[in-house]
Amino acid sequence: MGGAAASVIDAEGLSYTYDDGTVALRDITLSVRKGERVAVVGPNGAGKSTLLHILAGLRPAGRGTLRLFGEQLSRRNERDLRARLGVLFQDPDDQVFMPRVWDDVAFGPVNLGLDARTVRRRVRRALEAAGLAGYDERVPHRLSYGERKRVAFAGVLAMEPEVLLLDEPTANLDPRNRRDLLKMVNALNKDGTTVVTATHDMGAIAELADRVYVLDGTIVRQGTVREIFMDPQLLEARNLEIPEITKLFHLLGAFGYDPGELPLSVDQAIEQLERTMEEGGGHVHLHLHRHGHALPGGPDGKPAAGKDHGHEHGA
Amino acid sequence: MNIGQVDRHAGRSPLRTLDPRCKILAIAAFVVMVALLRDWHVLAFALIYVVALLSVSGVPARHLAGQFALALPFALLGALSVFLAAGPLPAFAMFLRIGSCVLALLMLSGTTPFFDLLKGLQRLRMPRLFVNLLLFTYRYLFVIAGEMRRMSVARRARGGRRGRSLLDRAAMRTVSFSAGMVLVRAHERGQRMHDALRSRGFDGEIRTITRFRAGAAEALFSVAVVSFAVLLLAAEWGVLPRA
Repeated sequence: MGGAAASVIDAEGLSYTYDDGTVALRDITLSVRKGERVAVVGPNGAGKSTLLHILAGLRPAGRGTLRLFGEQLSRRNERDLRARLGVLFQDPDDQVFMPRVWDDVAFGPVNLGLDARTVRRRVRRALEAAGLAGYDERVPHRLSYGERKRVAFAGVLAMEPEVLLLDEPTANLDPRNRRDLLKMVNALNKDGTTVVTATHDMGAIAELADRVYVLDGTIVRQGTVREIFMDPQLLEARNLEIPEITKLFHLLGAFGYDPGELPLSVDQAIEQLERTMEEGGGHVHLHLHRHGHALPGGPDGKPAAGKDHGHEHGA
Repeated sequence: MNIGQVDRHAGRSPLRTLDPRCKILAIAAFVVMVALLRDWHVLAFALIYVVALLSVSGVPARHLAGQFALALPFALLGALSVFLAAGPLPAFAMFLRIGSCVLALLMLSGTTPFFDLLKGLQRLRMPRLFVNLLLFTYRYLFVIAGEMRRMSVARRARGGRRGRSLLDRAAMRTVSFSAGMVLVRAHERGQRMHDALRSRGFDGEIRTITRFRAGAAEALFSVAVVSFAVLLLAAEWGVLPRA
């Protein structure tokens, strides 16, 4: 192995065709190692959810091989292997099927055959981790969308999966729920959980992944988040955009601010600003000058000429 | 019927904490025995007794009246058919019989959260397919109702109208399209839900770690419900000594 972490998901040549004959996925080859944070990004209809379901062992691929935790997925072992994966579906109503929150979160652990005491402990911990302490007796149809998403997440957490597969985890969430969800996922990753996220929320990717596969029916590119974000042609061709915070720091370049390496997330931006202020005696200096610029995610990466930006001097 | 009303009062009833298995068995026994009664005098006692039990159950009379009103047409139809075949007194007896049974079942549903009821049925070894269907229907009724509400709002936002009656052709068209849409969406959701169930280890059986415990309160309730029905049956069959 040479010190490399063990592979938890190995897909080779996966293909999938819908019942109506539409080819959803072609020749997908990817690999995820233990403890990694991997994102699968792509435009709407790229096949992200389908791929995630195949990787979770919920849908058989038409062609290709899938190895989970080093074992070839088969009818004999699919139930055991699936128990080691946790899937968060895009719509929590697909996943929260019990009429009471406590029972829904307990659903997975009970099916794993755990004893009652362990189930209770896991449910309590999952509810607390998801910020749902005291929600035991609540009924899902009386909860907000964000709360139902937390219940769904708690249900996954209670199974204590080794790999977390997230399908558009931030879709339709308000900023606070979104932030909390990202925080929870990263906390799990720090504890060793592998995270695979399918999304087109590029802001979330910067916070949820280290490595990215760009999917559009097939894998069109893979690389680090920075490599993918700094390829404007690729992003443009796949209907993707860099995060707003990255755009902002790129624009600051027009005001004389040297961002060095563009930040990809708010945390990175804060870090960079703090560093700049330390170096600048507590100030960030901006200057007014005429300047044409191009965003990394702009059309063809060509400069948006003729625009003026800046002000006299900011400190 | 507003489905949001389900379980609205069950959580507050003093009978809520009773073991649902005992409630199910006692009330099922009561219903079966009342169904065997013929004499309207005896049936009137059965009805009075159920109303008395309901009065201490904590379920608001207004809520009960609303629920009973849903069953009333069936009770009246049953009574009418007996009236045509056998005359007024048997018809009245039929009405009392149906009324007593419906009210007894309303006591069960009004004092037991639906989910507890299902767990009770599961513990009583009802077929799992039946219990699973009830469980998922109960949960997803609210989801589908929400979808229908949103569709209705979207329809109205684009100038759709309800129509004055079901004979209105445009209204019928809208209703049938909406029903079709709901069915398609429900089918798709069913498939996604099945995936979600499998991802959490579902193998066809819904397991629960809830343990029910029957004690003195359950014994008292069961005896109170069943013994009275037995007495009524004995009175009608002439087993009891006449005064």
